[in-house]
Amino acid sequence: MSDIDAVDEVWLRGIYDAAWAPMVRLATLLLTGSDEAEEIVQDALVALHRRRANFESDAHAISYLRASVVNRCRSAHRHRAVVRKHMSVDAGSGVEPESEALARHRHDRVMSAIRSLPQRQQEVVVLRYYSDLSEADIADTLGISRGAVKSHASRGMAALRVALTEMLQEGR
Amino acid sequence: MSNVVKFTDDDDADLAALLRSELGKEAARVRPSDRFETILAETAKPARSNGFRWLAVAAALLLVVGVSLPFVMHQLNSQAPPAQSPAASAPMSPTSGASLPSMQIGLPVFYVDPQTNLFYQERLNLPTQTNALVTAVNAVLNVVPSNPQFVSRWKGGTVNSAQVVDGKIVVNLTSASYTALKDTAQAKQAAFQIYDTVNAVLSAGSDSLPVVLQSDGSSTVPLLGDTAVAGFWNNPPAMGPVWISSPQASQRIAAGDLPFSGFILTGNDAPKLTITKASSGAQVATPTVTLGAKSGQWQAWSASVNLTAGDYQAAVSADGTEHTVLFSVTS
Repeated sequence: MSDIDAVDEVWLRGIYDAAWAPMVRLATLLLTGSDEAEEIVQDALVALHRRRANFESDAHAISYLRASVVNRCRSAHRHRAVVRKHMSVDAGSGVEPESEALARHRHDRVMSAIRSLPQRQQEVVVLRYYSDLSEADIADTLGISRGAVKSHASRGMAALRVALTEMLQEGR
Repeated sequence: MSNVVKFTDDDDADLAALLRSELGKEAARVRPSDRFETILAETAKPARSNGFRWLAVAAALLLVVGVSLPFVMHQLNSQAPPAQSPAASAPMSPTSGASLPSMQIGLPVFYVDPQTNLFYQERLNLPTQTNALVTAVNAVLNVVPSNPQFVSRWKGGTVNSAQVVDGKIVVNLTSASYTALKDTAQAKQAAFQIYDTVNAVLSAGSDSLPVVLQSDGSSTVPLLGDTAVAGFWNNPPAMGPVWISSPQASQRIAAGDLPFSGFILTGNDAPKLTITKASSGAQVATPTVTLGAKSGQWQAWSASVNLTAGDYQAAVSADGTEHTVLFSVTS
């Protein structure tokens, strides 16, 4: 291995360690299918590596990687059949105590409500409440204006509030 | 000044907490396998055909970090005569000269509104790839539209070449580019996205050139067959009856008296233009819209609104359909 190859591998290892798991989880949330999520993040990382000279810092590269993953998820989502079997196999198996069943029911309702949103609203909600990004970072990730982010967030939250009204009232 | 952005969860603390909790649980269920060695091995291979896709995504990102030239676009739009079809309304000319600009500004690219199956045009600023035709077709295949209402029927792909040959626009894509097309109806829409885009790039107007699609050089392409046969390009999908050309989606423009313009199918009354705040939906203005010159079945419309800094949505409606654009005004 040359010195340059070794440096590249160290760079890639650093990005991988920092971003692989979070990006796979983000892609899974956007796609509802973890097998495809790994493929998408893998492709995005390989593409990122080819452009490594263009990044000022690891943070810049990871920001770029996130945008790439979200774009690839959107593209995949647009054309593929719904892939849910991986998740649903785990969800329905076995007998569980009532408290766990209630928690699972609550979880499924929330996830179902999120997945029923239009795609952009889903992306904004996931990037905000899973990835914990700011409005500006979401705008950069999605390639839309901050105003559009606000608009999608506002509409998404309004729809979720309607869908989850009972649950929210129970929680008070 | 604080950089902390106040999100809507200021008013939705309980909902925000619920979403954080359940999304966190869902994410925690995912146990990614270790693919580092596989990824490392992939990076050692020569670049694959999807390399351009990444470049196109980068181009889309460039759009939102300020590469767009709002008022240049407006000037281009206002100077361009309304055309026989919106596809021909583009003022761009083909980049066939010896010196290629590094960026193609305001490249017309057609997308589909999946709710109505109507076609709409977006103007993109993209790094030049070989020539304007290749750049535009690559955008059709790879660049996600700015307007979230729209989609491309293509999932991604690579353009081998795109050029005018003997009075026809020959667009040669890799065979992999066609794999995402699932049925004939979708493939037809995808084909017309390219047809409308390349003719708009060439400013063909009513003299649209026939398009020949190829798959790795073969003129028989999946789901579509031979696109060179007579009549293939008859019965194109309908264009949206009214649309906004300026401002473009996600555009940032300076505060003041702002021009709005677009096209509408003749036979309709002047469209209704409504400007609202993006965040609250509060109506800001419903300016008077003036109809302009006619050309063929299209008529220009324009209006002017004084806006202060903020994020806005412009909605233009006619004939029961609406085209909306989100944009930002800076101080």
